[in-house]
Amino acid sequence: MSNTQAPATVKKLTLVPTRLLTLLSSDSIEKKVARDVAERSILIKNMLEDCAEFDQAIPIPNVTSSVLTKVIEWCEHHKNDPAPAADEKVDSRKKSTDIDEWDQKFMQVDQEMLFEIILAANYLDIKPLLDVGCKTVANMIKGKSPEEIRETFNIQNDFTPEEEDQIRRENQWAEE
Amino acid sequence: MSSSSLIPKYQAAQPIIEPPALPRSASCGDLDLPGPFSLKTESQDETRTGLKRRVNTASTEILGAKKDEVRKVDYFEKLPDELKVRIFGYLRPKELVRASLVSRQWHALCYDGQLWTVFDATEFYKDIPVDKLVGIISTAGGFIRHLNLRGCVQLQNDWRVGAVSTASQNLVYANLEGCKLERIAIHNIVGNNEKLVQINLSGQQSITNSTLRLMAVKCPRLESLDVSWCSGVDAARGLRKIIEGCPELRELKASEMARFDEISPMQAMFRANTLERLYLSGCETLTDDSIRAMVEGRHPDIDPLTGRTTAPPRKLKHLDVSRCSRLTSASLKHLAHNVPDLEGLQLSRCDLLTDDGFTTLLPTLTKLTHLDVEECSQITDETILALASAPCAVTLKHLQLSYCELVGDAGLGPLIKACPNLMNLELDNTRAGDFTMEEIGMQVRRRTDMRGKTGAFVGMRVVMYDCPSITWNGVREVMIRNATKRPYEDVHGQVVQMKCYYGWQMTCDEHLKRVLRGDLCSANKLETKWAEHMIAVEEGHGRRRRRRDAGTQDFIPELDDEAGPVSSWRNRGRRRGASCAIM
Repeated sequence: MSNTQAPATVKKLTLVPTRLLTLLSSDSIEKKVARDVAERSILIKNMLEDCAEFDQAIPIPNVTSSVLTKVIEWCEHHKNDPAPAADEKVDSRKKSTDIDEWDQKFMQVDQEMLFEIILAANYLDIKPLLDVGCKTVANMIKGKSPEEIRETFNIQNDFTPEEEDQIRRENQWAEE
Repeated sequence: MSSSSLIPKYQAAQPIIEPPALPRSASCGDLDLPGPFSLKTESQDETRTGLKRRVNTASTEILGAKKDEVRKVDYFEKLPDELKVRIFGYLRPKELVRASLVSRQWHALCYDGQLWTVFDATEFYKDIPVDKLVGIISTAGGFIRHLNLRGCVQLQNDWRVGAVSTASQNLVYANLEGCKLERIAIHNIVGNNEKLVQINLSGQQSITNSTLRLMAVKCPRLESLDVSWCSGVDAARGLRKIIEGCPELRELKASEMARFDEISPMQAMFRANTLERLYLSGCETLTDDSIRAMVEGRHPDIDPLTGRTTAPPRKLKHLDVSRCSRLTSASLKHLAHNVPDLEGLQLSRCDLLTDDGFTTLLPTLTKLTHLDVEECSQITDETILALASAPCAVTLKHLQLSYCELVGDAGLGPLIKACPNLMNLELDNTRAGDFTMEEIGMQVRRRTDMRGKTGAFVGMRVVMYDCPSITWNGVREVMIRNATKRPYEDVHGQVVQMKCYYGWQMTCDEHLKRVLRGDLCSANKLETKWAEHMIAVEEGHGRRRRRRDAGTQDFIPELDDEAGPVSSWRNRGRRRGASCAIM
């Protein structure tokens, strides 16, 4: 999957007169990305600020090529987004789990990929992508019963029946 | 790729969320369950070993499963806790509580203090039992910055409330309206939370002036305070201390507070000059002298040339002195020139106010958007004309004139013309007549401001119950205008919504519905039929006449069918002619 997509990305990017960077995934596959796209990652942005010239490949040791391809695809699509308002206070008060249509489609992947995108976004410090990923997972939890949640995420129920019963009684007020 | 190999690497990596330097709440440090949720388990040690055993079996199961079936992996578990908490941050409180039943780890994470920095009981204050409420608050403890316990009456007279008042020490916003807490609990909250910016104590009968004095010392950052209907507090001994002690205070709500007849609290407001929103409705002790002390100080320096005070202008943006029945026009004269930023002014039921005061004050206001003079029964068209020619006529959006029984068409006509942004107009029990209605219909249809909308939308709401001079003709006039497109324009624009005599209301609503839907034909049909019905009722005895009207009705639908600006204008002319002839 990565091998088929990567050349296309490169071809498209060579038309753009921005400088290309090379990212090296954990499984040693190189990916060429325009600098402004790669700079959606604060980690890479800070790294580039520290060194004026960056000619060799930037190693991304925690991200495999398939995930990296996916992340770059997201950064491509969102490269012109305005910088998010740095108002942490406001957004913590009333969080909405609305996700725009493109991102919803983007996140229609299997759970393994979904969680790896979240981890990669966290590592690469791409807050908007991390938000989209977390919202996607939150939406998978919303409106489900504990049993359904366990089924969705393959979680072991490690409560004893008595404990479960007790918490269930305590939580009665929260039932719809 | 192998998924299990990922975990150690990612966890070593730098996450966006710093690994919690903040103290995690005691409950989630280890995998124990939070304190208040007393699970009937064995002793703690046993629980822990039991848990370890369970975790071990779980992980071997996962490892075993991995070989056979990759799908059975719990990917969620592999996320670092910071990211799990971040995901839980998108859940509503009730969803969190439900999710806590999934597993032990989820239980611990769902009650992580970081998730409860905003504790807003609005969605569940009626359902939550007191021990659960106290439990969550004491678990989240120092994490809570925004606490809304409005209406949690279950806290009343409960010994566990002590935990609530001592647990939170980082509150920035606290709403305790209607909790009926004891004074000692409120004192604890106020005394422990130096970062308080906003607190709502309205209706707390237990608090006294000493509470406010404590707050004045302990909460220097306070910006907004609500002590309305706290009968144990008065202005002279309590409120004054707050005004002197909290230099950031912007908003003060103190409805029905006693002892404003002493100058000192208003004098303190004058000196501080920080207040932007002041709500003193129902403060019956408020006098002209108090208002003067607030805007000009006790011994004002008067400029001999202008006759005005030399003190800097007040910062007030909103002033509510409704139901302060001792205020006279002298108060309005003191306010004139001294409150240039005023946007909202509520004076309802101050029935000593006269035209004299308004004609002095209104020309000095440039930003006024809300004016409430309901039941100021002495004001006449002179005030309304002063408002129409004041600079704030263009900014005015909401105007309450109900029960101003001397106000009539002579003032309202020019006013409607002068106020292009007026959105709400309440005219109950005034002398407003059909002329005013006609003017409203005409002026609103002339407005070109689309407010970002397309098609027809409500640009003004008019309330006109019990106006003896408004007849069905006035109402019909508005309907006709509403259903008329401006010539040579595609967009429909602003229309008028009416609240009127109940016998006409249903027709008005239906007509408006059709107009908003863009179905002008059927709107016109409805209006015509209604007019004919009204004429018939008015004539009472005219059976012959009704038959003739019924005859004219027959060809109206045909005319309406060729909808469009031209035909509707033509229709209108014809209909107006008819109605004139009958009148």
